[in-house]
Amino acid sequence: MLDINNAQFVKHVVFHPIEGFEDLRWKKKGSMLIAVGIVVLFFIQSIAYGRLYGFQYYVDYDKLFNIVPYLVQSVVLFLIWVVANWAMCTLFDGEGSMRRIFIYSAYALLPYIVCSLISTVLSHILVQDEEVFMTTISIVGVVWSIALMLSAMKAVHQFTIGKTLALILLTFVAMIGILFLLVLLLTLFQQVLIFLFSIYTEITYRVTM
Amino acid sequence: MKIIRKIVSAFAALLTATTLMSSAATAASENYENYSYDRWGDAVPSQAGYIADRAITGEMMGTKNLSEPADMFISDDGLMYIADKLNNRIVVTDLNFDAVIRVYETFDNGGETLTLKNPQGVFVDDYTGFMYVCDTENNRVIKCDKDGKVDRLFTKPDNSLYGTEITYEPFKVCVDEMGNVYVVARSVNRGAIMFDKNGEFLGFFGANTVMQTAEVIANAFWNLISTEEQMLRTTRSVPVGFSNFDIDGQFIYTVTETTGEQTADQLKKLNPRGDNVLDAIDMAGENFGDIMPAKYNEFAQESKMRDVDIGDNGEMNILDYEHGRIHQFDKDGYRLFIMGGKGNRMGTFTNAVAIESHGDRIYVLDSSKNTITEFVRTVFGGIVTEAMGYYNRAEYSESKELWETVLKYDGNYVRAYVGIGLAYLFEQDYETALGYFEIAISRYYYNEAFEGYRNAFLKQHFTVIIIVLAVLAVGIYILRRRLNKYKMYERGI
Repeated sequence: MLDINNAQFVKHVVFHPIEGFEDLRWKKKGSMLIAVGIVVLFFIQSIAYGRLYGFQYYVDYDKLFNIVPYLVQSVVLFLIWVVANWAMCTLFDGEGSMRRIFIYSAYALLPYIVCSLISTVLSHILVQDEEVFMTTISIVGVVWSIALMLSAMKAVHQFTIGKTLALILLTFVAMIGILFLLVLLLTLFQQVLIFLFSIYTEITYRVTM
Repeated sequence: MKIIRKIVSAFAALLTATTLMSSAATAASENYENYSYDRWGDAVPSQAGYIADRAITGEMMGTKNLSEPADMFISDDGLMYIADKLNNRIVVTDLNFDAVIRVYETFDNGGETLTLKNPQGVFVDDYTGFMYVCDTENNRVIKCDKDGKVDRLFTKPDNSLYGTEITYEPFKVCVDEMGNVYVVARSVNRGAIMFDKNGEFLGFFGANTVMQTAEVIANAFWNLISTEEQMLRTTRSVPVGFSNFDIDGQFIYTVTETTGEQTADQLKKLNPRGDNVLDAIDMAGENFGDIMPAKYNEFAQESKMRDVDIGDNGEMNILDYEHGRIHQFDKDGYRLFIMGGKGNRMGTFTNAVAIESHGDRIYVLDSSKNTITEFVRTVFGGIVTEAMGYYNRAEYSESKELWETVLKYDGNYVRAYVGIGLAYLFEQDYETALGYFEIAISRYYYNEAFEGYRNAFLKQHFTVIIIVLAVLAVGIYILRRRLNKYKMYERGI
């Protein structure tokens, strides 16, 4: 059974939230290429959601476009999730490798991405009174993705449900820690740069005097 | 010699020409910046809708100078009533300001003579001709006729609903068509005190609300666990009482000096039930003052609204004393003009307290300069007003051409795009209307135009859509059958 290729496995996983990831695990399938593709789609979706929304619902400050927030919201957030999850799973004797966590998490995100893309398209067709359809679709996407993510984490580490929930909670804590350290690092490097630059200015003053 | 004279005369001519040009330029420019806000809320230069024409003192009117005047009112017959606070009198003048018509210092209350003590509000009921004066420090509102004969006194309500511990220092008064009297009193935050025409206390009207900000929620939490002594020291989460109001037909407009995060009730347009009708058109919670407040010494100075006045076309003039500016909006809350500023020159104010309008003029009372500044509508302002007139009568198509003229003067004028868009919407040219509403960022009207556009599109292309859907359905059905056959063949069935 289940002699299907990687692309077909994405469909199988998404529509079988309970045992899909277990099948993926025992068949040792899952393509890094597809996973990266999904993360790129995630990035595109976050831009589309922020920029291409129907005018009757949402107006963005469109005088300037800064790609960094969108990058942080999607790709960076996803990478931090993967790293934090991997770091935490080693403490819990989880089986997942970084590669597998990446692939499984990306697969689990698919319903959310697709649903929010659909609601972005719908926002150009529906008027304000019909907003409830879009909200419904968005909520379905989020709930579906959360269910898939639980199943994915359970399968990739071979955990019980309780342990999975504890892991996800700890992953969030670790993510906050990583983000904090990143910001700290950035500010410190900024300080160092300013320091070096002031030394440079000082020296140039002395030399030219 | 002749050549020299020629050169000199040419030079003189050039000099006169340049001085003339520069004087023309100075005549057109004001002592403050003329700006407006673009669709993103960024300040952009704009055309002046009104310019300051002159400042009038008490002496120019032929009486002693005003002393900290607190309020003024213009009645329908073109008379201005000024509450001259520290001189304890009400001054009546016509709008030429060359002679005072009457000064009320005493009132005859059936033989007893009443004097005023720091009067801070005056109102004239155009239907009955009665004058209402807020005799603030004497804790009463005097209703009298044109001769100063007192008809009724509105004193502190003897009612448990009002509360005995609350003071009664009325400082603004309004009367509606029914003769109900609305009084704003200091440190009363439950809204305007409402009396019927017989002086009976009816209740409060149009109270402000407390916005649920993080600070308010935190305070509510701390109050649960703190002692009474500690509770006294925390900031209290109570609504701010409104600072002024005006009445126009059945609507009462209130302004509130909002502080910090409590910005919801800056400007309200209340119907007789006390509901804010600006809610209905997406305008509630809009920043009616300066969107980006000026920053001095790193403290942002938020707009603080002191007075509101309704013009002939339903336009709302609101007075921001923090910046000395007048913000004019149309009846739906779209920005029209911003004028004025802080300072001592013509058209700027140090302590602006009251605003009134009459025809094409706006009057602003400054209580520390003790003057009334008169603003006159410009040609540009006139075009906008004319277009607004058509708009208010729902003659959108007639207003289109005027709005296009407005855009020739000022391409940033957001209200004009709304006007033109509405004209196209009215003519059912939805696609063009959509473009204009998008420029104006008017989501409310965009949504309406979009609904029309979508319905028209569906109606026009109904057969095509049905055919495409049918072809797609059949195509998918055939494809699936082919695919299934192919799969069965592969599996060897």
